[in-house]
Amino acid sequence: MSASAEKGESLFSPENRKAFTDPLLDGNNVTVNSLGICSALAVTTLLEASVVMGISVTVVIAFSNLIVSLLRRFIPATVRMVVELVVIATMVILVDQVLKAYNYEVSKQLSVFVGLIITNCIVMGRLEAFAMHNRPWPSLLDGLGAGVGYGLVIVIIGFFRELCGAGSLWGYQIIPQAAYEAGYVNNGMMVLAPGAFLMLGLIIWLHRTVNKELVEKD
Amino acid sequence: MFSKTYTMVFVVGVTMVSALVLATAATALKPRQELNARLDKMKSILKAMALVKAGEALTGEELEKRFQENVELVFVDYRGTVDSAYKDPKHNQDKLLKNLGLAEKLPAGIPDKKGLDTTKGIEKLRLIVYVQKSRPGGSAAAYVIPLLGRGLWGPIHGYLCLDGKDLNTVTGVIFLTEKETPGLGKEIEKPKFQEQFKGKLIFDENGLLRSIRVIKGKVDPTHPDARHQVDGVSGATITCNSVTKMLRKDLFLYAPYFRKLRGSDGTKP
Repeated sequence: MSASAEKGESLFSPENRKAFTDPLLDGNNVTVNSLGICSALAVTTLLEASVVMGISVTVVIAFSNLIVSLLRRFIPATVRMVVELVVIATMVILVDQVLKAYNYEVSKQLSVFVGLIITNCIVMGRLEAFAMHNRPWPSLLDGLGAGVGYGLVIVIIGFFRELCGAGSLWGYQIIPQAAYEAGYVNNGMMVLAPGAFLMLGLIIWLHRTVNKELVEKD
Repeated sequence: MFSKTYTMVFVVGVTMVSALVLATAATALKPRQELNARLDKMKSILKAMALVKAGEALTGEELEKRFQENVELVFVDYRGTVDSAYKDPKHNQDKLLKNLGLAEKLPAGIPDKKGLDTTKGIEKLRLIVYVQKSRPGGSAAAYVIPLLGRGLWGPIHGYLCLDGKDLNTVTGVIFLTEKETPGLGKEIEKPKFQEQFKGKLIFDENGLLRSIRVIKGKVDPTHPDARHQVDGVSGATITCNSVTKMLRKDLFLYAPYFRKLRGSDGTKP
């Protein structure tokens, strides 16, 4: 348990800022690491659900990262993943319970998907890749960055899926009734998984166009 | 590295802390969660009665008030006789039906001749009816019954509202799912699906209970049974079949009560 030399490091030093921005942008877990895709497709039919899911996942990753980082030197290697799972599952159930108590409507919409955060690869991924080898504060920042990175992607997907697939945003009808009567039809594919996949592909394409470094050299 | 004893103690410790945290949270949040569930249920019933519009936001108090002012709870036995003495605040209809083995095993087809007389313990069954209070002096404006069924991935339930005058026309229905697929089975929660039920009839001209069937594809309006059918959701056949079965089962259970009301009013179509 070495008292590291960087104990005096400022809270928002370049290293710590990088811990936050890395999983958010260049190392975005969804677009670059292809993690967390399942829920990215499943809950994004509605914008509000996507936002709540993004916040829930951020809370789970951030606090799981924090707790595991605090415990990292005490966890025996033989039970490492088991302990990580207990931490993740506890956080997810907590989030689920709080949602049921304070935002019942949305918790009904998200139904099983909140529970499925336990299986979201991003959470376990960050614990293994970062929290087990870094101090608590950077781990917390990494968790927040990873969660916000994931949240950004699903909110964008949710925005377009709800708009094109249901003609509404956050439950409010955007496309006027007159358009439907004139012949406009909601894009049914956007409501189903293929539509989400396409949106995701477009976002990955956009990300790699903006950040050429992500493109592998052939 | 770490000794086996340490590992055991650590794992037990982590588990116990986790259990403590979750138990505390669950207990602390339970009252709020139960209140939310209760209010949500009241909202669904009021929605079925069209006393709450879609998207209308109401506070808990407003909901309770509207419910108290408009809805009266009536309990009937399997023969349709009202039991005014029955008072069970924890009335759990689903559990009662399960205990009698009736939750799903009701006779298939429209069982007008068969009865439940032979089911052991059937005398104890009490079914709840939510009656929409009318103006004083008039008959009830509407009757709402709860529905419970099994969808593809999980339970489905809802409320069916019948017109108070003819006890035949459906004036509203609410379907709720827990685990059905969004875009497919979950579509039955959408107004577009539920609106179809308005105006459909559950009894035919001969007083036979027909219930309402969710068919594959579009209903042929010229078909004689069209008044007892609605369009299905494409890609969600199993969930739609579950809706059909659920309606048939619960309407069968409440039919004696509806028949008694229709008979006394003399209001046959």
